[in-house]
Amino acid sequence: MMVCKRQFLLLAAIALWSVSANAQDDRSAPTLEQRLSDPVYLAWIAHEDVKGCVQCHFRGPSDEELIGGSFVDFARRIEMDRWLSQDKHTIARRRVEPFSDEQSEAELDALIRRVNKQQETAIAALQKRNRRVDVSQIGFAKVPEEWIGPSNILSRRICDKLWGSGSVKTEAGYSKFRDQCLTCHGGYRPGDRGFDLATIDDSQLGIDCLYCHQVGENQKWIDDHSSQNAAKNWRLQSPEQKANAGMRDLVNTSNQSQMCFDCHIGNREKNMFVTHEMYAAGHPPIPSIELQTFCNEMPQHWQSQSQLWKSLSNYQGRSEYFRVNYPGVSTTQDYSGTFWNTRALMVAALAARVQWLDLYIASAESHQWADYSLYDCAACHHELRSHSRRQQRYLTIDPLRQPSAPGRPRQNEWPDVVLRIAYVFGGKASLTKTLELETKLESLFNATPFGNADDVRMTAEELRSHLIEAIDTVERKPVPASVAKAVLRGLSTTPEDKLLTYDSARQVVWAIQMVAKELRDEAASLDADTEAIIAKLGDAELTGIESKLPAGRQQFIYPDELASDLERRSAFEPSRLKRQLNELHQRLVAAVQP
Amino acid sequence: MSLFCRTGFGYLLVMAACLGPCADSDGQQPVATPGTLDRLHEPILRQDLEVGPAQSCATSNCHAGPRPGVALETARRGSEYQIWIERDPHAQSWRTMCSDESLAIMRRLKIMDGDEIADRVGFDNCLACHNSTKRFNEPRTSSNHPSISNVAIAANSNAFQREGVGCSSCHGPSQNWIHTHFQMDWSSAGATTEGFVEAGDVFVRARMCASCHVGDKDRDMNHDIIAAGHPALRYEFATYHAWQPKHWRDHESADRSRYESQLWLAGQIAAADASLSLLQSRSSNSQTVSQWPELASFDCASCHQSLGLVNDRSTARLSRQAVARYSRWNDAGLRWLIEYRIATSVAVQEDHELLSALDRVVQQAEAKPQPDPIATTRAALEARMALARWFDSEPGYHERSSLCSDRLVGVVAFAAQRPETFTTWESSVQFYLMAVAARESWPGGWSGPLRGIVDRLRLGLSYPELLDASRFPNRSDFAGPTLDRREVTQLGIELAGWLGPVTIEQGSIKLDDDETNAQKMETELDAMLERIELRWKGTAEQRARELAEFNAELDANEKRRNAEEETQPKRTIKSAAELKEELRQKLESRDIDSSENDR
Repeated sequence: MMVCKRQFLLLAAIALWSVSANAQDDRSAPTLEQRLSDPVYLAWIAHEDVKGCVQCHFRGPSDEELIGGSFVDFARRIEMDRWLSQDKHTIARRRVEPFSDEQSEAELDALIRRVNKQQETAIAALQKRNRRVDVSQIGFAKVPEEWIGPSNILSRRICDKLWGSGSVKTEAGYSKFRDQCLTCHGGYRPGDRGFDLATIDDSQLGIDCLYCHQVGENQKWIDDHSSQNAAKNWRLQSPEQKANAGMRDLVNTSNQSQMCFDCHIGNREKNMFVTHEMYAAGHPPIPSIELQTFCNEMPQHWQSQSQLWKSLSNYQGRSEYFRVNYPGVSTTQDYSGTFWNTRALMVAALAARVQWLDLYIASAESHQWADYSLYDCAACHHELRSHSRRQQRYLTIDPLRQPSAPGRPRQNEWPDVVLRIAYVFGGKASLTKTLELETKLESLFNATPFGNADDVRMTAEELRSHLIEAIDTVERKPVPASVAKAVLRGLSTTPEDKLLTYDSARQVVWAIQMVAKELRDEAASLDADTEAIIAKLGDAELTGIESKLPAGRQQFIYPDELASDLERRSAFEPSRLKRQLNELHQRLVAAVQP
Repeated sequence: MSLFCRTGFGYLLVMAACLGPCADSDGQQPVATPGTLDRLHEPILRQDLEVGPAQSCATSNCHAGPRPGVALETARRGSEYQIWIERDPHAQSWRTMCSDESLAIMRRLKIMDGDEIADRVGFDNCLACHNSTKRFNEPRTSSNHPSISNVAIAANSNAFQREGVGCSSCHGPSQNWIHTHFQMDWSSAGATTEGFVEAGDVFVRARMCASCHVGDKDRDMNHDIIAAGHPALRYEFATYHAWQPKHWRDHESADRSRYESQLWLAGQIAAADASLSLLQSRSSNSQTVSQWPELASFDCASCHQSLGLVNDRSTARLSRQAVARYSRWNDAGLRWLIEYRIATSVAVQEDHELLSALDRVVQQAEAKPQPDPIATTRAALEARMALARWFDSEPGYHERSSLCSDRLVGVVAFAAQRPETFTTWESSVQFYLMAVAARESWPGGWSGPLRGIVDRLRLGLSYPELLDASRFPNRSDFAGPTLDRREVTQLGIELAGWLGPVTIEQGSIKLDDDETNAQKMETELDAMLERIELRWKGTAEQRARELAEFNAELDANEKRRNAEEETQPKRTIKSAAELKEELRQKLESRDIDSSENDR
């Protein structure tokens, strides 16, 4: 029965092979042969919950829809193509499944049997349509690393260390892995099926569509958003109405941030939290996250707001749609001059701070206070040196979260570099109170090593509710080119004290490069020399910072990338980057002076 | 409760000590904690006796006589002050406090604000070790008002002595013995109650030195101070004793096989007791300088390590705990000795009690990121009392009377077999220092075959160069043959092989399990992948043949279709441009429709 269903789905998906709508996509689409040799692609298109998404969101609008005028370009309908062929979320679980050798072997045997069958079915179907397939290009001689590789071994070692050697091979051991690891790596929520040792199969390789796009169990939205009348009845609904129908409002930047940050920063209530014990057992450090940079690297399968504004140029409800979803961002009917990514940079910085505060609050409430991973890794993990910058900074003055007591484990530093700008953008009225609460919170971490749980919780709650208002304010402000340029100037003045950790420094580089790219995309380019400086900020040879991440399905963190990343972290010192930033700052200032 | 107190009296002591350093009826600052080795150096803890300045000892008839000749050995009684002031670094410790570096440290700590002293408690904590007296909270003065009520006057008076670590810092406040200690019938042994430190006894001397060089209840060089720039304290008595320019006649050195072994023993006992006393004051609520948890109680390298996939420089541990490691610098040697006693079946109840008391301290300190301060205080005090009982009973007497290099080499050989020994830099250096303390019994002596191994250990561990960064050295920072954990282990075992039978315990191999396991897993994976790929190759060839047939059929179909098409009129396929144009017209007509509707 399962096989029949799978074959049906497969045929449906294979029929989509000749994707033409990729004209908007700057990444070349895989060939048919590549798709038929891609176990991840083949597994997902046969997935029960994803089939519906594939049917609509793969090949773009049909000729009939285009000609008939029923297609409105809210979604390009090629999203699944990008996601299936490139996005690492597709294998988030598969890559960390702690297979034993026997399991791996059985898995691979099953894989080849299934893939062969799929290929045969597909080829037969194609044959009927008189499509030629280059047989020599199909299949794989080597085991694809996306399916099983060194990171599975790393995961097994981590499990062995955390719960005892071999314990993850038992039901009880595997359920610990499920509860503590698969929340992020597999989108597991309590009660979900397919997450037990007995039921492991290849049906859930990673994070699926619904994990991000649906809230709760209500699936009304699926029909609503895809119906013939969607243009009239769905698109212009408010985010709240859409959420009530079960669709998560990811159009809203702070919502989107929060969803991504649950895993990429942590959420203790959802059991999405890498403890220090997990790190010590071998989990790679979670990198700092700059939302838009990460989205670009996924790669982003949706249209950015500025793309959407252009795509909807023929749609009468365009301004209304933007007004409903982005109130306050434009004071006119025209949203074309908005720097959406710069706006997202600041909203996400505030959302990241809220996420950290939530971690403090949840840790204090659940009596799991002072887990070392609540603090900045580099606060402890650094070489010991006399006359270091770490020591010198206690003699300098900077208003935001200035350390006052040497030797106390510090809060994560990387959010600060953008936060200091986002706080100012939030407006003067709010800034004073924000800084006052930040100072108070910082003083609690300085008062006693690791901070007192209850004191921190109380202040964190106060700051949190204040920041929720600040996010609302920032989300309702126009962000024109002048703001983007000011943000760039602001970032270029980041003091050296704030660049001591590799994560902070890289965050600044990401932010600057992201804003510069947006200026370029919006035809507000900087001069060539300035662009050249910016392009080189993420060149490890020059600044010690590598801005590229091992993103996408074909690049792996463990072991090689991780080894070089750790080396860069330990060797980093900010003076070279600071010199580049100074130069950048001079150029940016010169550009605005008459 | 019964777990840690066997008698009601003991319980009272524990409770009293848990409440913090005990105060006497005058509200006076702490003296000795009963039942501990505080009794050895009690005079320097006392706050009730007047302290005399070094100058008061420096008359030419007393301790400032003619300078000694060329060699220290000829130092004669009467020249102590000259030796101290000219050659002893202790005399410079006030200058150290006034250096730019020290001022920067104090400014970072907000002890000083510009040139003003902003934190009197913090400043006094520095002075507690860098000077003979504190400045602000100092009831002992050199003038005639030693009472506590005169603190304010004392603080502002000129009586404050800026002399560095002067005579009284080590020999005790002289109020009661200054006028009698030169008399024929005066006995130093009985003068402890008068405030005199019986520094002639090497165990008293070691404990007195440890007060500053390790720390004590009234002096705490904590993590804040280290973070602000002060070197961490990695003190080993026998080593520092050798460096110290001696202003006394070093009688004990005549018996060479005893001398360094006994210094080593005294140092280990003193360091263990001082560090526990410090831990006790840090974890009890009354501390004012440290904050709990006090991170300086932990092995620096357990946190301060740059991360890497494989890192042989880091600390290793036999358990998988992911919290900081309690520092073993101050109790490693004592543990080896007791474990050696157990292994050689001479241990008695006091040995076992002391070892488990030391273990409980570690367990408490490593239980969680913020260890329970009350339980830690209790564990520290119990360990101190267990140490005092050990010291005062048969094991202590025995080792103090008979530990010589012949016996110490046995401990060295034994320690090399212990799984914990080479897990950290701290423990490895202690091992090296112990081996050196036993050098009189090395085969071939100082210039025998062991010298080469020991030199490699010394250079490779970079002690004392790495005093303030206690971890296996970074190769890029040090020229020469630096060593990592594996290399130190190998050398240590090689060294021990010269001194006694070495049987490697399972545990030391276990340490490498992680990497061995990882390598094994990776090899297995590779082998499995190879197997699978070979199997797949066979299937692939079979499939290729089958698929080729499909395509052959496809070719045949195409030919047939082409033939058919030739006989039929061709279908035209619209180009993209044509489709777009069609779409445009369609949209236009729709716009017209809707605008008509609007009308």
